[in-house]
Amino acid sequence: MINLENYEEYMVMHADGELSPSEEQELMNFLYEHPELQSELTAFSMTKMIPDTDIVFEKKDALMQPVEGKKVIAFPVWRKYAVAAGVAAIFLVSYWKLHTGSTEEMTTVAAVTTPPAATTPAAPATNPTENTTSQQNTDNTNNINNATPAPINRTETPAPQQKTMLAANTTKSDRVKQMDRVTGAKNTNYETAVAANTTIATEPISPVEPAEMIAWKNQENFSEVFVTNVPPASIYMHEGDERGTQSIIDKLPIDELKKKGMENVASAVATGYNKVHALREEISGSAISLKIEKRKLVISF
Amino acid sequence: MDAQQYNSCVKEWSDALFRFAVKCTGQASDAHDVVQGAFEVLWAKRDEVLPEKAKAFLFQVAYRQSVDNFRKRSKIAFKEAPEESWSPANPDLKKVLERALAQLDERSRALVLLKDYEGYSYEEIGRITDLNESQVKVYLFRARKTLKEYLVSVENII
Repeated sequence: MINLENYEEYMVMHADGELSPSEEQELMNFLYEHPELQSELTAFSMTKMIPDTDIVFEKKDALMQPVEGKKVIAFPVWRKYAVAAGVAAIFLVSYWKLHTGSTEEMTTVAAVTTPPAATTPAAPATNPTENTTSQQNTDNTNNINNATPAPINRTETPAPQQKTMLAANTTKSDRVKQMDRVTGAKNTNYETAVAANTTIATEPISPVEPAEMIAWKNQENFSEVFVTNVPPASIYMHEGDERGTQSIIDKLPIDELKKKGMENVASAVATGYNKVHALREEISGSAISLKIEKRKLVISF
Repeated sequence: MDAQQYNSCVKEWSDALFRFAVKCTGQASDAHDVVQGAFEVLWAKRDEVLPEKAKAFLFQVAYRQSVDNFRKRSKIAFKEAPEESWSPANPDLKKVLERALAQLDERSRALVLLKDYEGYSYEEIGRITDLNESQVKVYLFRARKTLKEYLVSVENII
């Protein structure tokens, strides 16, 4: 029975939600009879504390226990980004290395196989266009052996310009010699080929034919131009010469110290790439799972 | 309770436990020790505690550590909320209540927090605090009355 002696007790229990439905009804009836006490009920209700959700326990990881059969590695936030950046860098460098390597092979093959064709008397007029074909295949590479760099329609130029071309060709011939000195390869056919090109380039030629036609017409003589699948570790220097094998880096016109440095970098990148590749294979074939949980990268295996 | 269930408890209850401990002890550093201690005890007794009883167990340990132990050492220095009285221009009831809570003794404060923050019944609070239901009822009645009087006092103008 609620009365003026114990009504506060009921009001507190009302605020705490501890009254039964019948007691609630009884309290309402009491308040109906004593409306002046309504403010007290409101005041008791206002004493309910509101949880401060801004207060959180930051060091949950310190409380965690390792789960049996599961190894949990929780990376701090900055390590997650560091790992991601590292993996991206390895992929980027590996891709660049592979891409650059294949371009160099194409360049070398095209350059090496062009000169002997120039010495063939049967097709002297088409020689410049063959070089054009070679350029198409080697794309943006620096073709050191391009004996006729001038466009085809310049072949009918007057004598002074021919002299210029000769000079230019001679310069390129020198560069070939220089390259040969660097590589140490005995490739005397280069010089012959350049000399022949020098002569041929000054002669008038027939109108330009489509590159595909020329390639088809001369594929007997220049079939090697289209060979690009050369093993990365070795490149044949010349058909008929002894087939010495040299790495691409060895052929670069730079000093030995830089070559060694490049070799080390290439080796490190290749090793990193292989490791990543192997790890990827391993992950795809195992029960390892990666997940990003809140601000942490969790690897479970 | 296995390690996975224990870790779930950490994720689910550590924030609430820390909140409770902060309000009980008044110091974040003490509250941190309380939470760490409570989970250490839970891990040590994981074979005896059922997962569904883990929350009550944690609050029981935290209550003992934050109220009983701190009171025995008489080292509680509750950090009161800044002196800002309630007024129509400053209607932050939450801050006023924080200061009102600081007026209570450690046990009453803990009981109010268990009731209001966690929504435990008188009976459950009794089990956590080793008090009987009547005692809980009396402590909470006194606590509410003190809080109400603080709110309606002249300087707080409610």
